[in-house]
Amino acid sequence: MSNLSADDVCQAFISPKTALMYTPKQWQQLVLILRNQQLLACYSSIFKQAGIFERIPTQAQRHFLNADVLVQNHKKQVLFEVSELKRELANSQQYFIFLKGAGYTLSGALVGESRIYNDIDILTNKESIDDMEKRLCLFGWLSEELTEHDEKYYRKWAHEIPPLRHGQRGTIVDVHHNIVPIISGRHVDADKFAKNTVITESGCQILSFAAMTLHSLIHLFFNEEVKKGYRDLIDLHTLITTNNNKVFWQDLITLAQETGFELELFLACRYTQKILNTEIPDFVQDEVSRFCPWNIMFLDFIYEKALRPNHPLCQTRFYSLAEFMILIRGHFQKMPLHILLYHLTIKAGISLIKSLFGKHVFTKELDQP
Amino acid sequence: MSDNYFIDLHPFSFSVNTALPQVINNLSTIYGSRFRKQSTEVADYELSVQKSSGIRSFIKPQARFFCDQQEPFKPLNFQKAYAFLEWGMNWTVAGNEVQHVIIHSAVLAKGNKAILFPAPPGSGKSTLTAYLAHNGWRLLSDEMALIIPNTKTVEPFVRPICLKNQSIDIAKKLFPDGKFSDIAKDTHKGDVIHLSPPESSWENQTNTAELVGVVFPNYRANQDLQVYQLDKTQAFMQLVENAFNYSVLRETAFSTLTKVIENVQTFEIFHHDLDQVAAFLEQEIIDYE
Repeated sequence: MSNLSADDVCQAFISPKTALMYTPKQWQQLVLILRNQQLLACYSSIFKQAGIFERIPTQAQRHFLNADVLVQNHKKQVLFEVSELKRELANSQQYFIFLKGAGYTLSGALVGESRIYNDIDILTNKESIDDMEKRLCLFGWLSEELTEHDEKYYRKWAHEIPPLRHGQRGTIVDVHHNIVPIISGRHVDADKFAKNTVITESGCQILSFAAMTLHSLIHLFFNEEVKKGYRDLIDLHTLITTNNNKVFWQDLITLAQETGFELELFLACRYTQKILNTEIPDFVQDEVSRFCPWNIMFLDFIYEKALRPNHPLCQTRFYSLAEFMILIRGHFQKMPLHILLYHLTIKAGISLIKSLFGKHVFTKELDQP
Repeated sequence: MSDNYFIDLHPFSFSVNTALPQVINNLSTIYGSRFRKQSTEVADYELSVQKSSGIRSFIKPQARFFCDQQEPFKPLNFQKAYAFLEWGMNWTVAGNEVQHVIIHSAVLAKGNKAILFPAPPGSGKSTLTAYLAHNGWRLLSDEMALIIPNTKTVEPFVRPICLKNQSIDIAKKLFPDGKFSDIAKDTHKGDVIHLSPPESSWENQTNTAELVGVVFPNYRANQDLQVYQLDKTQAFMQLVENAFNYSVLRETAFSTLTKVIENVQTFEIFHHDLDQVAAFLEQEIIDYE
């Protein structure tokens, strides 16, 4: 039997029973690809739902079971950190909204069920961010050492402050005051998002599902990096599928229009459907097709490659080219030309030195694996 | 040119992509026939050890370690590449495998009866391990004991014995025919060498054993064997401190370790004569049951 392809991996998501045809070797390949994409637990629950989990070869099955345990543990840790943050920020006046992964987990919805992520994202308004940083500092969340350029990048142009790491537990918190970089000129008032929130049972503020979906799709299509593109696409698929009702779609479309991210909404509908067979209602199709851009053939070329599972075992042709084009496109969207050129010159200088002297030329040797 | 190799271990297999002769030679010395060019097998984990690129590969070259395409650690001095890979394998198992309660401990068995030796570095644990493994005992693990949840059963995970500093010379004298790796100098543990356990341990790498004792060894120069019976609470707490995935497995880990502690003998020993230790273990723990 041949090696698994990226399409096979997508197909196993769409109709899990196709995986029953795999050889044990192909199952092992699936495990390696999914572990790399942080999707083992996600597929595990898909196979369970399809009632075929018991038929997975034992060697591969073990890895899915491992992922189930690790994801449960991750969830417990996140809930703990969230309760700590809530306690630490309890007396402050400003609002704080849990975004992305932590938001998914707190929503209690399917999208958060099997998700692993490296940091906890919080949104607040720009005026309160200094206060919040100081307050978190008191409780042991400190910003890590950055290069001068990176520090400037964060403080001046970005939509977040540098990541804060907890000194004891090592957890990382990202505090945002916007969902896209200020410098892009497409930033929206954080308060606009703050209006589209709900309070969970445990008293945490998270985005409504429509706003959550919008944020998720902006994150995917207004970004220069798609290393975890396939996983993000699955998030979108899950959010859409579990909220597929008229009110949700109307809210989502309105919010996308208000904030100026119609194109990204169009792309989200297009590629979830193309790659994951996501069911998009006809009236939504009609509505969003108005936002189809002139360069759709170009976008199809890059996103249909870059949003599939990316792993050396199953890499699609021209993947690297697509990835590079997304890098360029993402940067162009985020920064005006003169700032982009400045940023890229500095970054290029550093990477030139690194390619000449080795990637870790600036890394201090740390003899402690 | 980088090649793919396969390390066929029980219960986890690894593929290693590397072009470094140092790594290939050491793997071949240590793992023998279980190490080969990868053909059609697919491993549980894909590892890779590479030399850092660019001019850095000529001036004070560094080795980089990858697991499943990710680079979890900063690079190390090139000379430590093989030791780096061994630690990387431990890290990979500790971070991903939760089907066993994993204790930072050596496990050796006589027949079907096994003893756990959890101990911090510098306690002489590995010297004891090497000695027993070459004197009629079977090595199941040197660093990672895999206990099947809610049992006293240990799954072997046979790997080389990691010896440090002075014990390197001692071991080379004690086991002149031993299969040793190159010495990795100046690591965070000092100088380090890996020693392949005897063939009998490898041949039994799929046979589980039942725990009958937990012994915390302490090497003391010129100290005749002293044995202290540990009370169950102390022993339990020490096991918890040495468990890699206690916080992940929670209730399962708690009940497993409780079951182990309640059903085995627990000792702390101070010694300098390995013969005395071996005699004590056989008479008081193995033959006791």
